[in-house]
Amino acid sequence: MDLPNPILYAIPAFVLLILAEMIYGRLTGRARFEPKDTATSLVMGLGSQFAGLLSRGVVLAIGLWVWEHFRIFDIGFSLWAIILAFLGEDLAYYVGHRAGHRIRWFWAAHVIHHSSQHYNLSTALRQTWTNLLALNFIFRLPLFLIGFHPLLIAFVAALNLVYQFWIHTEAIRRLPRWFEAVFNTPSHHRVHHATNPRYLDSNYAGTLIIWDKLFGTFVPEDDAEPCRYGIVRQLGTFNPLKVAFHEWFGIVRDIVRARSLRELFGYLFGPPGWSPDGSRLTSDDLKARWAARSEAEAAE
Amino acid sequence: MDNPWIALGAVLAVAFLVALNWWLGGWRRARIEEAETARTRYLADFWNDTVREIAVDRAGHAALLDIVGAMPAVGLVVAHGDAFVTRRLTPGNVKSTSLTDGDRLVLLLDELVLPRVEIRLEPALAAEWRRRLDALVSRPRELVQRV
Repeated sequence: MDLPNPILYAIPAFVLLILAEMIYGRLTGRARFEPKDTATSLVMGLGSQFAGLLSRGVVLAIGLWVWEHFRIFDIGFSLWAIILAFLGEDLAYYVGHRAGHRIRWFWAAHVIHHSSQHYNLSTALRQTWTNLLALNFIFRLPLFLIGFHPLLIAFVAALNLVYQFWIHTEAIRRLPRWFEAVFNTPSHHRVHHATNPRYLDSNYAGTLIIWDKLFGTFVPEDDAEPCRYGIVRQLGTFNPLKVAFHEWFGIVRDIVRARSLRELFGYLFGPPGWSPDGSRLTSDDLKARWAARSEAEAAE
Repeated sequence: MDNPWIALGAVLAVAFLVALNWWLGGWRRARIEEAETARTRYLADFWNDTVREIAVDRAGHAALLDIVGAMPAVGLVVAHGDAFVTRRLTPGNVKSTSLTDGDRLVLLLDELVLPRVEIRLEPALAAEWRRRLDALVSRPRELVQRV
């Protein structure tokens, strides 16, 4: 079974939509682009496609090995198989994405996508170069074990990524209520990219926002609190190499200084911002401090 | 992307979009016009801090903020593209400071993504802020190197 790569077919649409959003933003002020930031995002996107040449082959080989030797069912490539694969992959995406924010090892790869202070369609393409190094494919292994063919999973995963492109925009405020209830939308995903304490670590969905609602990570956008985009510790560089590897560099620096196995483990697999003496802040720390402050202000 | 024509097309598309972004305009380099801008921007990220004094770079590229607290800390706001980057500098975050031409204060920070910041202040002010920042220079490493 030969399935196309939807990302390659979508590239012309990506370019045209970014072009349209740029012009729309210039005319209305409802989308913000800055050339160096745009260049960084697009170069990161290009680099991720080149990095993907290697990782896709390796992941496919591992996936095929698991599927051939350990699969429970033989699900095939029917329409129902595609629909089920899409649902299963979207759930696996949710789990992997949540891990990507809660475990520093995975965050080191994912942080790249959040490293822009802008939120426009070019931000969607600011993708990691180190998915293979981070071993992000492990979140899809259960799908191969169940019996979904790795090529089918690669196909629906690409469809999922293509879906997520258009939600990276400030140009669309809200969509019909039924759509916002079921699907990930620009509004939901703005919250995910925001650094406001109340918005941190929420809305991990790929295509279906129902996963966040099911697992308690959904936070709606509040018009009274506009999103501030990026990461808690914003980057002061547009250098793609530094953008791609800065968190890995930070991990290496920390583990070299680790004084025990506990510290080593914490630096690698603790939440981003974890430190043995608590001198840095995790998103949980920030949220707790923010909640305490809000309560104190309300009591006054 | 294993097809060289698609790869070439993607590279050209990136170049085109960036050039278009330059040509269309609609953005401007971030600038700290006054101390209040620096305070507001810093407190958006470090809302638990209390800011005392603020020194703004003559060209508006950066600002230093004196933070009230038991531990010495200096706030930093730096223009980056059309946005700002903030840091709360505490002991160990600053690798070194230097003062050239009497008014150009250069900070080398202990991080990959914001390694160097240059701030131009009135000479007396620059010397005063250098003294405060020197209190944050990475002492543990110095001690290790001396041993």
